[in-house]
Amino acid sequence: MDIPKEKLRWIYERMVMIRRFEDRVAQEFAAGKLPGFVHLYAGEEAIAVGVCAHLTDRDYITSTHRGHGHCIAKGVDVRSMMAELFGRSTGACKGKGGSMHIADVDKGMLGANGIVGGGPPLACGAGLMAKVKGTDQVAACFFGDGAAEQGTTHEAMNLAAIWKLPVIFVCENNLYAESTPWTYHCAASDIASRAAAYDMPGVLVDGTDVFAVYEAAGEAVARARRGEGPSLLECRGFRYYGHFQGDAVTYRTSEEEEECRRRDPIERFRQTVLSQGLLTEDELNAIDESVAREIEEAVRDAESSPMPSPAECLTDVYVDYPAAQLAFRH
Amino acid sequence: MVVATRVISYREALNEAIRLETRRDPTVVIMGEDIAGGAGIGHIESVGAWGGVLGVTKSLVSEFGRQRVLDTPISEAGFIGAAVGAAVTGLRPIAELMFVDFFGVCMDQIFNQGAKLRYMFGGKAKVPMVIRTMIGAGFGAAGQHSGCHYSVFTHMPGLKTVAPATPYDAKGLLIAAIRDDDPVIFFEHKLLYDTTGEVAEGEYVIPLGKADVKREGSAVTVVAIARMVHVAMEAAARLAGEGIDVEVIDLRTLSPLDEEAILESLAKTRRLVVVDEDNPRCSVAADIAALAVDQGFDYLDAPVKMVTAPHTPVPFSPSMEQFYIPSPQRVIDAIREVV
Amino acid sequence: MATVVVMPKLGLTMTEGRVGKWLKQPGEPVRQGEPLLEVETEKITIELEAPETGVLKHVLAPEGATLPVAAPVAVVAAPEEEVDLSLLTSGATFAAEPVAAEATAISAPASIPTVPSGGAQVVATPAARKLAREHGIDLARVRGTGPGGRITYEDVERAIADRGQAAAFPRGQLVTFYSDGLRLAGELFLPRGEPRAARLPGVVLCTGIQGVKELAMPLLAQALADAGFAALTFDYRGFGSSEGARWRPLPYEQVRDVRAAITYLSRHPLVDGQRVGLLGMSFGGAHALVAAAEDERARCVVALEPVTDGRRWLRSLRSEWEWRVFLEELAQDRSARVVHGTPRRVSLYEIMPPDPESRAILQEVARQFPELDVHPEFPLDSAEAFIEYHPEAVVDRIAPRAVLFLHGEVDVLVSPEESILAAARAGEPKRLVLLPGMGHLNWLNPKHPVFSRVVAEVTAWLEQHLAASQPRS
Repeated sequence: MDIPKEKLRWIYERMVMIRRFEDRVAQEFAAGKLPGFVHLYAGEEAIAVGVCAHLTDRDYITSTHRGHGHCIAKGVDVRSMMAELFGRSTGACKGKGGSMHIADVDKGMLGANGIVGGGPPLACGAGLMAKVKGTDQVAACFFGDGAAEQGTTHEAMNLAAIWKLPVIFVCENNLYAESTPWTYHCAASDIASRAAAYDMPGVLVDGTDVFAVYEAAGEAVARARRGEGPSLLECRGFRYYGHFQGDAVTYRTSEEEEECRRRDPIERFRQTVLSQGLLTEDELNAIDESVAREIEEAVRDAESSPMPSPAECLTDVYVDYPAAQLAFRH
Repeated sequence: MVVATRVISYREALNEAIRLETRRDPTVVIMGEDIAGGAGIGHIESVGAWGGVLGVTKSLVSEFGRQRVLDTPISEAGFIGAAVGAAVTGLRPIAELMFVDFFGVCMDQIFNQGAKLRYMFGGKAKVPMVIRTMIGAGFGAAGQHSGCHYSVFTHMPGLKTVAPATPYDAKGLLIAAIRDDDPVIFFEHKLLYDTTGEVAEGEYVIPLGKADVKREGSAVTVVAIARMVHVAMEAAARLAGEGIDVEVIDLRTLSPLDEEAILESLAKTRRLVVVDEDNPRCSVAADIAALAVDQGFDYLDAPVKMVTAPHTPVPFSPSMEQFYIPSPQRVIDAIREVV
Repeated sequence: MATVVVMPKLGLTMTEGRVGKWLKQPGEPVRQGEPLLEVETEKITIELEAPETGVLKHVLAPEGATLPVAAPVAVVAAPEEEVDLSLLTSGATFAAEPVAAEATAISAPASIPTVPSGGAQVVATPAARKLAREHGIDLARVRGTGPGGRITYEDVERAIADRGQAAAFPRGQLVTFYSDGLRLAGELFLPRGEPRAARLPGVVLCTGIQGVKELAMPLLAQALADAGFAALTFDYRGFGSSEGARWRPLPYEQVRDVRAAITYLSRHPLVDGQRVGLLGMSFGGAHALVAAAEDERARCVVALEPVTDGRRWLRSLRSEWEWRVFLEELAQDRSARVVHGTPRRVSLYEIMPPDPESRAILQEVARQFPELDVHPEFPLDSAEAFIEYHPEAVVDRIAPRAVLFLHGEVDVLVSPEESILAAARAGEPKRLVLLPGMGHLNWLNPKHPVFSRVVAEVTAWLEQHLAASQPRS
């Protein structure tokens, strides 16, 4: 595979950014600094980054409750993300969304989504927009193995197929829907084969191998841009943390834990590029350092940013609406 | 300026609104089940089969083609959600939810996605879409095709809700809804489609959030919604013979609510009857009654009366269905209790 | 004799008032009728006038103090008079030798029982309540025409309009006195300007069957005050602002109220207790005659259209069969209340069926004075007492004190026969004036020519028989 060096650097930088971001969020959450709860993406970096490597800011993605990685892969500013997790007014959503709703429409990121299966119909909408306007924009739809069982996912795949929408359905099969193994909740032997029901290509990919994801996604994105309709990728991988922070992950065996560390996507990438001489150790370490700095700054910024004024609660509901009717009645 | 008008039906007025806006704005797309009909069938591919189950979108496909008049599978969650996604990314979709009773299968896309995205994104997105949907009893369509349920949507922050009573209002309000940058649920009463009225040619906008005094009076304010406006008007006409001077306010928009118009009229008449075909619990009627006792307490010279459907699903048999729907007589009885 | 100025009761529901600005300082001379201080209630601020000419001896409440109704706020007395504050009464005046039974400790007013409310909580619409609040209307005195008697906006509007009219009637100084331990509300009309004499002749005015002093009485009282009399009107017990069982007009109890009024007026520092007369109208005319027959302090009597035989009077308003039915109803109620304790209440109109003209006038009065409870329901035991009430039988005891009868010649509510027969029985001096063409109520209007004739007749009679030179018999 011939990936430009700049792209390789970008892939590595984004994957490390995701990892460092999530590890730091886990720390800050444990320190009690973050309101609410968080679902961390560490371990699945190769999927978001491998897909988004083919997208520009004009393309769209829809995401899930485990959305930090998608945001970072799609280029959302990590400072605004961290500030959002801290509930600050400088956050990506001005403190109104939090972890499960981080969005940046200008970057083509249509939001993390608190509803499992909430995103696929939205991705169809973005695809429909591109089709109606006659652009070559595409929409990538990330969803988990849990969402694979939602009706909306099937409706969306069918709709995208009959309308030939430029949508790439990316199932991130991290083996568990919350604590329920996919082998239990899914009647099929794999999720990718469901693509046949909607007459679209379905590919099973190793989600810990960014090169594999990159390659499969490249074909799907190209097909979408050509107006040939949607594809389904099933990317299998692991999440390092629990379903949410606080999940003791009692359902995973130690063999499985071992396997997921052994197949760490970042380590695999490093080994590949170093062994093939594509990037040097110094280059990678420099990226590590700059990412560490950026995360550190993001946290410092977030912590020193003001909380939103309480009355900000009453804004941004509508584009245009009588303010008095949004406020308390008394 | 003289504006030409002619008498057309509520259905034609809606069709005209969609046609004019689709013509005016290339980002407008129309989607729904059978809104053209017969998709993919050669001899009707360009003209459509039905034009909507009750014909509101008839012949639009002939002018705008299948690219912008999109028949959907029976897949409400899928296509309503697609409308949300399209709206966020730059289109102005008009989606048809055939009967409002079907909201159950797509509510997540309406209220967790469409209604909340802007807010959850800190105001950095807008969702300019319209969901047109059919409401109302009177067709013998029974429990899953006859509800009003606009109260459910009116309850939800992020949505605007509109329920026109006349062809003129239907056209002006639908144009306003399509041009609006927020998601609007547009309720069309199925018994009104064949009613007719004067409608101006060309584009005009009736601003959302403005009620209309359909009849001026001094004895009692009757606030009504959609078809109930006509029921209230009939009651008012019958009481006029007895010298009871009824003011009828057509809300037209439920969210935002024209609180000022209601309170202004209440200040004048000091009596309020709300007529609402929806079920009574947590209803628009109850909301207006609450408004009256909260903001208009010192105006009240009689208890506020709500004339609504009972707290039941819509029954099938005509005898029961007619019992269910608020009638002019029930409105008259309520008025008599307060004047 | 010193006068204690008390916190006035300015409305039925008023239980306390606030002392506003003092307009006079202790030691300052005051003239009767001059503003002494401001009194504030939730609804209004009024200037309380000096009850007599003298010196403001004591200020008993500082500015801003909130006091119960009838609590003393000041003492006005003659310049050289010594006032013993320990002898303060909550009434109006006290003499050098206070009557023990009437003397009350200074702290007592707070414990004075309040007027029993006529019924349950006032039911009024929010709009009505707001309007009443804005205009200082006491809803307890507004008649509700809404469902279940609910007071509506229109009812309050009417009350406001009526108050405007009512305000056009002359008002006197609010006073209170006790009768059988019940506090009665009175209104004292005094001549304006400089007193014409050291002591004024006084007249107690007895209102009619509707029991409240505001009906017709203020016109006559003001006319008498203008003629130099101290004229006292009052609400009978249980009526208007007076205490007592609500709306239970037992004639002999009302006569006791008349006599308490005589006592009060006789003791007023401005009044010559030896020159007090009675004026009664209609059913109050009956009381004037009976009180005078029993109480020699009444130096002369004016009976305007009096009832003099209750049985004859109520009988005259009915056909034979109606009368029998009425008696049967009374008999039934008599039996029932012996068992159950409570008499049935009926509209005044059922006891005293008015002729159409009187009915129209009474309804107009009711419309003008809804807050005065002018059309209460009466218990049938009081109707029974009316029948047994027979002033004519005692009028002969009035002589040699003078009695004047005035009666409309075509009065069909209280027949002129009532005056004619009683006058025949009365001793000298007496006079009977029949007003040609007049009914019971139609001349009771200051613009009516007969009204001024009646005032002239009455004034002349009272002046003659309450003259200063009149020796006590």
